[in-house]
Amino acid sequence: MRKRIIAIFVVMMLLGCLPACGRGEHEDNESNSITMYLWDFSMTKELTPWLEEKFPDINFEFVVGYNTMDFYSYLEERGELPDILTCRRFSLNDAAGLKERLMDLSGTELVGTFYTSYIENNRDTDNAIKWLPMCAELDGIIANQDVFDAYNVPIPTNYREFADACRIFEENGIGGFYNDYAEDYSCLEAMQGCAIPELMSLEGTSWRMQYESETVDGTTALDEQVWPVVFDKFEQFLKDTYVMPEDINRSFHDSKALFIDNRLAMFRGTVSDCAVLRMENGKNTVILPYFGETEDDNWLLTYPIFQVAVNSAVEQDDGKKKNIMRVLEAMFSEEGQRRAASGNFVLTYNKTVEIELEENLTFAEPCLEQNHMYQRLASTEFFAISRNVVQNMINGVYDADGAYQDFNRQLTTPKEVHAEESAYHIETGYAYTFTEHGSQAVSVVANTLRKQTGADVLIGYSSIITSSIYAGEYTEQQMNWLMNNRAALRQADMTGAQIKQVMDWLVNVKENGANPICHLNQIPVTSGMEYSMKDNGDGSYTLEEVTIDGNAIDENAVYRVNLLGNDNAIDPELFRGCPMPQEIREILEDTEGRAIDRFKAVLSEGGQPEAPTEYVTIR
Amino acid sequence: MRKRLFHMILVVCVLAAVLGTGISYYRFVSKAIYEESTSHLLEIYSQANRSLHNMVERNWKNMEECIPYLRDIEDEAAIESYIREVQEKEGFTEFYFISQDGTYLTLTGEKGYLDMKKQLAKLVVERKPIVVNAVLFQSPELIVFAVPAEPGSYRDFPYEAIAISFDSRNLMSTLEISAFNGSSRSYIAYGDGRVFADNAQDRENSIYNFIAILESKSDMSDEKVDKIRQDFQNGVIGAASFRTEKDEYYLIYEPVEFEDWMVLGLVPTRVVNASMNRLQTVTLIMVACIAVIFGTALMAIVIGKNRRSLEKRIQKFCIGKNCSACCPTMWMIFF
Repeated sequence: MRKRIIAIFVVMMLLGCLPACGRGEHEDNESNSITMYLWDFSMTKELTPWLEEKFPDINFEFVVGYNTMDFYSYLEERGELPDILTCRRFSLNDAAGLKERLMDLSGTELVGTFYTSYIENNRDTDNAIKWLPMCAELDGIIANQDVFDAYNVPIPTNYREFADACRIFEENGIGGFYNDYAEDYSCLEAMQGCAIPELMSLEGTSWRMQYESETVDGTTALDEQVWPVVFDKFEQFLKDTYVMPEDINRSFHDSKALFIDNRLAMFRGTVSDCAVLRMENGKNTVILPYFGETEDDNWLLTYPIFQVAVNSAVEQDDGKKKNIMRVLEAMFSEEGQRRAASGNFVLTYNKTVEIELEENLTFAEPCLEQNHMYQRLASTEFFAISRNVVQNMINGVYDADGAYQDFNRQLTTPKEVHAEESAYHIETGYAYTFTEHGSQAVSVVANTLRKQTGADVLIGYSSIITSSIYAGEYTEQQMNWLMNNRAALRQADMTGAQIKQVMDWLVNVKENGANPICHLNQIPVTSGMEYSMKDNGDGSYTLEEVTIDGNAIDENAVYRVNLLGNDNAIDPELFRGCPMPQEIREILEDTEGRAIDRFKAVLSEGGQPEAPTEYVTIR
Repeated sequence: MRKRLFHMILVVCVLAAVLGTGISYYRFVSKAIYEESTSHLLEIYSQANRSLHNMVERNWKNMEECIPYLRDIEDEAAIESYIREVQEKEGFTEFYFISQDGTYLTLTGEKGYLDMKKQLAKLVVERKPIVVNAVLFQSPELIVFAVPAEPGSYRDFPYEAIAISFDSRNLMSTLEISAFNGSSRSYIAYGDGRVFADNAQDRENSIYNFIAILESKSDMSDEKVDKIRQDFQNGVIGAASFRTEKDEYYLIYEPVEFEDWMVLGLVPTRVVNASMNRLQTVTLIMVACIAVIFGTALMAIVIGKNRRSLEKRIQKFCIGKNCSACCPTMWMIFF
């Protein structure tokens, strides 16, 4: 009897311990899991694979999101603010709405590693520091030295020489200087870039401090002394660079293609762009500054390549907070910053990092030595208004004075704060969370798109969406944020063998060691077919089976296939270095409209997204 | 049996008394050493702090004196020679003429931009002296002291203010602590704990926020760290000791009475207490010896007294009896 009582007691104790064990494991997993949103897929080039390698004890979920504070505000509303946030477009005004949900990093050892004069730019009015700037990107004019040599034009050292060079090239049928005026940031940078001495004058900097400390609904007008000169100079710049109305549609890739073809001498770009042109295209490129009247008035335009913040919710979990601080310290180390900038950085905000100048910065060196580095004014409204006003100037809608008046009007018009109208409704929510059978939310989008296009099979290169699918109402903008904006939708008729070739391209490690899968949550998504792959345990995978309805795919049958993804994230040597098989590239056709528009079309017509399927099995 | 118990209790009591006295003495001496050491350190760092404060005051004065000189002397070579002389004496890194928009010109004709942010307006519009941290390309972080000057021109460069800069190493030279054979480390920090100057030779072990380090790497309780944080913010003088994985340290902090700067000193306790620890150990051994001798003597007296009393009782007991056989047995009962 006594033995029986003891046995029952022991069993009860063990049963009592089980939930506690489970909870401990769960808490450990939670502390070791970090969700990090990326402002752009370029962060997956070197930084995110390096972090995974450096912290094997941490389960990272890297999600390519959107480069705007509004996107994070939306995630916060849905209760899915990630642990680590990154954003390139930043101003304290824009970030004000999120500050209550972000961790104050001001008292950390990490903040102490920043140069005081730089980190103070990010200090809130309540003394907190929520965002940390990663190393700086430098923006200027990329020049093709070979073209200058071919036409015997000296590399300009001031604005007059720059204008003369543009004239000579234009007279010889070569583009002098192009800018991608289709983009808001290019309009903003060109406009500010051509009048930096004015913007950095006492009046200019005083006005800027006043503007940047205003509230979200502030109506600080442009300074009457500084800004008319900025527009006058920009008007002259447009004339001197022979800008025509059709240039408002010019993209960066248009300019780059002409530049590579030696039909353009200069275009606006960054030090990173300059390095890529050197390394990938073999061009003899150098970075030139934004020119002023004399060499002493030349300036480079800079901005942090991105800013980093931490969700304040992590403070409730000591283990997680420690892990996040470890990750942040690694990111802001010298190695981390080199990875973040893919080796092309010239200015750091940290005392702990030392830099050596690169060859292509020879002509920008005087600016660096003189500390002539202008940090762009980059509030959301400045981006939007700059594009509108600059394009109107190019279209001849108004002159410099008209541009100043219109910019001022748009800037000072009180922002109407009203809830955007709901445009879509989704009845069932699906989690983004990745399991051994893929992500439900990703599968829902893939299945819905395939049904909409009528294709037999859809293959997405990686996680093509940015968040969970939430049950409820969506505005137009919120629905646009659901999908990765760089994912292009294309189509082709492919045999089963070709489909297997595509899957081989997207999963298997190449002969030269290139691995197309950078993170587990970014493995391919499929609809209309399933696949299985083996986890090799070293971050690589091996494709095993490709099936349709459980049967091996018929290699000879022909299927209508949609391909959805961003080639630039996988093809180039600087990223995964896994170029698409030529045979597949040749048969692909573009489809009409963006993928998200097709998804929205289903909802507009009263439909609902398709149910998810288990599209992958990882062994 | 009762006697044996009594003697055992006696032995335990004596040992406990010796131990208790030892511990109390150790605590008393440790506290005295801590107080003595920190007071000694505070004295040393107060002196260093005064040097820093005087250096700051002297440099303000030097710049003020420089202004009429710049106004009256037109010969640029003479100006340069005068400033070089002051630089030689004070050890600042560079002298600048500052224009209205924050552009600087050095004595050697190098131009550049000094990003002073809102302090620029304070300097050139409000005409007030300022101190700012600044960064120039590929140079250590600078601490710039600037004063407004009468508008003038140097090498055709129009200026409205003049400034001098120090890099952290120059600034720390004023805090040179000669004691402790270089084992001490000195820092200048802001009120929030961020360190902006130190005398560390190895950058790898640099500290960037003292309070964050106390929180994460020391055995200090949260309450103690909070107290230090408050002291920093309120500019209060103080001392503390803490242990890290590597060593145990004394921390001394003192406001500079300039901006919200604090001077900090960090010295391993073993270095500060080296001689006092020896004294403490010798004293402890001596006290222990005295206690043991005293205890033994006390026990001997008690035992002797008991023995005599027992002998008397045995003698009483043996009167009229043949005790030759029983007496040894009786003695054996006692021992």
